[in-house]
Amino acid sequence: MLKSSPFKWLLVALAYLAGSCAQQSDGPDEDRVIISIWTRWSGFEKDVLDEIIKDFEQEQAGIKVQMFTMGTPQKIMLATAGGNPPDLAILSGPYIASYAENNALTPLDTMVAKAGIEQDDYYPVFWDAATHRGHLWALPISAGVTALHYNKKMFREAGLDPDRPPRTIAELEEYNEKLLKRDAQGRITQMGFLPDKPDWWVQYYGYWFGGKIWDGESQLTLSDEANLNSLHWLASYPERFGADTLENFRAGLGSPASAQNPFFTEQVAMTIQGVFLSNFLEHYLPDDTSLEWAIAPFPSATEDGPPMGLAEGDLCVMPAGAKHPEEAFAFLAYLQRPEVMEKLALGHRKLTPIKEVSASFTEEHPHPYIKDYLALLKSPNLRPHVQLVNANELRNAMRDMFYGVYSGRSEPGAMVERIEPLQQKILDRKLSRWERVEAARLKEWSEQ
Amino acid sequence: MTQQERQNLRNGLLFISPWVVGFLAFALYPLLASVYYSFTDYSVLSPPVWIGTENYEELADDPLFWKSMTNTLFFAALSIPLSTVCACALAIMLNFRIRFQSIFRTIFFLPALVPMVCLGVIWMWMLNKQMGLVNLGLSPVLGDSVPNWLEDPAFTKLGLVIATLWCLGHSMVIYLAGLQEAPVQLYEAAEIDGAGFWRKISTVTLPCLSPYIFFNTIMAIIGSFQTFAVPWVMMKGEAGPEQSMLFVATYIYINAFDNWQMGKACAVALILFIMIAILTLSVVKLGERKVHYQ
Amino acid sequence: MTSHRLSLLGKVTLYTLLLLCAFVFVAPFIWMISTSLKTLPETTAMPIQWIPSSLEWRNYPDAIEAMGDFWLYAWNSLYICVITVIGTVLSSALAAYGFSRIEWRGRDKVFLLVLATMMIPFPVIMVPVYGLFKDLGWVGSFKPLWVPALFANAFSVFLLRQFFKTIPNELSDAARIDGCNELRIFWHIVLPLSKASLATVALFTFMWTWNDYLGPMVYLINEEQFTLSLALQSFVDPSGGKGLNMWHHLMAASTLITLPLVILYFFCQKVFVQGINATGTKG
Repeated sequence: MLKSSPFKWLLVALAYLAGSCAQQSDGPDEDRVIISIWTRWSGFEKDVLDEIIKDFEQEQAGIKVQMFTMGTPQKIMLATAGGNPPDLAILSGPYIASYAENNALTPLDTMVAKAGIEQDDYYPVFWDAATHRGHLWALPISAGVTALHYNKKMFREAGLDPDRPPRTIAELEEYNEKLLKRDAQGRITQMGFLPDKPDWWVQYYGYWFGGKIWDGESQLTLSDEANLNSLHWLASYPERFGADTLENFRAGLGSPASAQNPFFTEQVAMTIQGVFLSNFLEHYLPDDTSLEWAIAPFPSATEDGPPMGLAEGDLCVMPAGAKHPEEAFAFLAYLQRPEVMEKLALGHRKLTPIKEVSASFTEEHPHPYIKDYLALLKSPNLRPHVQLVNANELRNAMRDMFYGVYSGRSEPGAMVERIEPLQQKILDRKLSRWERVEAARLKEWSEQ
Repeated sequence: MTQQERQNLRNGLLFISPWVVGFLAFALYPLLASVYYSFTDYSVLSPPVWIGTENYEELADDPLFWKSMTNTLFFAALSIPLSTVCACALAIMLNFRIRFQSIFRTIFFLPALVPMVCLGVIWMWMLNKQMGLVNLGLSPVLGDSVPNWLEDPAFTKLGLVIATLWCLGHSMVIYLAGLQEAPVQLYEAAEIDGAGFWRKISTVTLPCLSPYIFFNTIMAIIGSFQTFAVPWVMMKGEAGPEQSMLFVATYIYINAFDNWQMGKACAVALILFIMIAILTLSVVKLGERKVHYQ
Repeated sequence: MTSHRLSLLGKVTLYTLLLLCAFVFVAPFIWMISTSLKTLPETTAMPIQWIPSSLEWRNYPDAIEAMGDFWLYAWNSLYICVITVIGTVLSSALAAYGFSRIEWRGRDKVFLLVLATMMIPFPVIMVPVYGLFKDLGWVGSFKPLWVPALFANAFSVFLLRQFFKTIPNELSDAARIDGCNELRIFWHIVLPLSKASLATVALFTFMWTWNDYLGPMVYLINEEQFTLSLALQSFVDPSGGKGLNMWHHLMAASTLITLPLVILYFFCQKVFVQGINATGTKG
C-alpha cells in the first residue's frame, strides 16, 4: 500500500530524521570519563581554557573535558532542572544565592576541605561571592574590579592635569563640566563622564556614596541617605545638561563592545570599566588610532577611606546532579592551582582571586596598569554583586530606578518609595518560603 | 448499537487516537497538574510542598501580577479593535476594481511573514528615538518632543501596537476573501434604495464581514493574551522600563524559569486560561446573536 | 462594492490612500534592507539616507560570522520544522478524517473539545509540560519541540476537517463496497484529493515552527542546538550579545532569517491565500 504513494517518502524521511535524532549522543567508545564544562566564552578566552584542558588531560589520563557554550546563565538552571546538567559551569554575576537556594548546585565544602584549598589564600570578596547560607557553592577562577579609566589627551586639551584624576564625585563633575563640548546648535559633542556608558553597573552607584543594598539580614536599604544621594547625583544629569540634549548625545554613542565605544572614539573622556577594557581596546580600536589612557580608583563621594570598587569575577559551579562529581572536582581543583589560575588570568588579561601572584605574572601581564589593579584589589572596600535570592528581580528594579531618575522622568524620592516596598515584599516572601524548608535544606547540604 | 455503528465507533476512535493522546498529554494533564502545582511551592528541583492558597494570596497582593494583567488587557483592548478596523479598511479598498490589486495585497501581507524575533529586532530599530523611522516620520509634526518609544513606560505598549498593526496581513486577506464572497445583488439593492458609500458599508459590507470579524476576533484574543516574544525581544529580554512590557505570558515565564517558582507560575497560568476561556466564550455567545451568516 | 462605479474624485482618493498605505507597509522593509547595506557610522548618520552611499554587501557574511554558527542554527531550525511539518500533517489528517469521514456516536461533541483546546496557548501549559519532558529526560534535545507534533494540532485538524467534509461521500461509499478499509480510503482517496489543503497545513505549520521562540528558549540549552530565532535573540542579548547596537548586522541577520519565508510565500502564494481564506470562512 505504501509503495504506490508519494507519502511513502514523507514517512521514510520522518523515520530517518527521528532515528538520527535518537542517536545523537555519545560518539565512539571512550574509556576515559568525559566531563562537560559550560562557559560563555568564545574566541581567545575559549582558546586559553582549551589549552588548560589539554594540560589537564595529559596529567590526568583518565579524564576528558568537553567544553560547551551556553546561551545565558539561566540555561544552567534549565538544564539542571531538566535533569541533564553539565558537570561544571562558569558563571559571573549574582546567581549563586538563587541557584543554591533552589537546590541547583552541589555544595563544595567537603571536597574543598579534602583537597586542601585554603580560604585564606583568596581575596575575601571573591570567596564571599561563592558562599551562601554558610556553604560554599563555587570556586572563584578569575577576578576583576571596576576602576575609572580616563583619557589623558582629552584631559590636557581641556586644561586638566593628566596625572591628577578626580578623587571625589564632586571633582568628577567639575572635570565633567570642563570636558564638555557643545556645537553651535547647543548639541553636546563631547562629555567628561556619562554614568550609563557602559550600563553594566548602573544599579551599584550607591556603593560609591557609602550606601548598601541591604542590611545583610532581611531588610533592603535602598532608601538610606547614601543611596538617595547617589540618585540625586544621577538626577542632576538631565537637570544640568537638559534631558533631551543628553538623550540625543547618548543615542549617538556606540556599544561598549565595539569600535564605537564612546571612550575609544573620544566622545567621552572618563568611563567606569573593568580590567578587560584593554582587551576591548586591542580588539576594537582601529590600528591607526591610539588612545592615551590611564586608570585610577573610581571616585567616591568623600575622599576618606580606601577606594571602593565592584569586584566581579568568574565562578565555577558544579550543578546538582552532575554525573561525575569526583572527576569534575579534580578539574576544578586543577583550575585552582596558582600557576593554572595565572595562566588563565594572563590569557584573559584579568586578575586572579588569589592574593599572592608570582613576579612573572605582573611582568608578563599585557595590561599596562596591572600594578594599579593589583593595588586596587587589596582595598578592603571592594563589594561583590548583591548576594540575595531575589538578586535578579532586585537588579532589574534598581536599573529601572536608575533609568527613571537618569532620564529625568522620575524624582529620586518618589522612585525609591515606589520600588523599595515592592522589592522588600518580594524578599520577605522568599525569606518566608526559605524558612519553611530551611532545616531540611541545611541538613541535606551538610550531609553532601 | 448495530455492528456497523460499533465498527464506525472503533474506526473513528482509531483515527482520532493521535489527537486523543495529544489531548491527554498536552492539554488535560497539564491543566490538572497546574491546578495541583498552583497549591504548592515547587521549583522542579525539589519535590512540591503543599502550601494551600498561598500562591494565590501572594498574587492578589502582588503589584507585578496586576501590572501584567492591566498591561495585557490594555494591549488587547487597543490592538484588537485597531487591527480589525485597519484590516477591514484595507480589504475594502482592495476590493474596488483596482489595478495592481495583487501587488497591493502582497505588500500588505508580507509583514505577516516576518518571524517574531525578527519583528522584535526590526521594531527595536524602527522605534529608536533618534534614528528610528517612526520618529523620523513624526519629527516634522512633533519637532523635538517625539516619543521615546522604547524607554518611556508611557509609550512602550503603543510601540508594540504599531508593530502589531504592521502584521495585520493575515486578517486582511481573510476579510478580502469575505468581501469577494458577498453577493452583488445586495449592493445593487442598496443602490436602488439610494444608499451612499458609508450606508452601503454599514448595511451590506459589515454584516457580510461579520462572521469573519467574529472568527478573527476570537483568534486575536487568544493571540494577544499570549503575547511574549515580540515585546521580550524588543526589551532585550526584560520586562521593559518600569515593567511596562510585562505581559501575563512574560510573567509566567519569569516566575517559572527565572525565579523557579513553578507553583506561582501555574497559578498565573490557570488565571490566564480562565480569562481566555471567559472572553472567548462570551464573544462566541455574542456572535451567536450578532453575526449574520448568509 | 464590486459593482460600484467610482467617480474620478473617488478614484484619486482611493489610489492616494492605497499608495500611502502601501508606502507605510513597505517602508520598514526598505529601511531594514537599506540599513543592512550601510556602514555602521552611516546607520546613525543624520540626515537619514535611504540609499547607502556604497552598498556594503559584506555586512551579510559579517553578520553570519558574528552570530556564531549561523548555518548550524539554520539547519537546526530546518530540522525541527521538517519533522514538525510531517508529523503535524499526518497526525492531523488522521484525526480530521476521524472527525469528518466516519460517523460515530459523540463525534461532534468530541470535536467541540478539539476546538476548545485552541483556547490553551503554550504559556498556560508550559510548566507541567516542561516537567513531563524533564521526567522523560528530553530537556536539552529537539524532542520536546517535535514530539507534540505527532499528536495532531487543533487548528490543523479543524482546517483539514473543513476540506474533508467537501469531498463527496459517494467516493468513500463506493470504495467501501469494493472492500476497502478506512485506512485505504484515507490514504488512496481522501489524501490525494486534498493535496492543496495538506499543503496549506504544511505551510502554516512550517511558518509557526520557524517562528517559534518560547519553546526553543525553554527546551534548548546549548548554543549548538539553537534555532535561528533563538540565535538572533542571543545576538542582541545585552550581556554579551555581539549584535547589540550593530544595526547593520542586526538588519542583515533579520533579512536573512525572514527571507526563507518570503521565498516560500512567493512560490506558494496561491496555497497561502487559499489556506488563509479557508481558515476564515467558517466561523
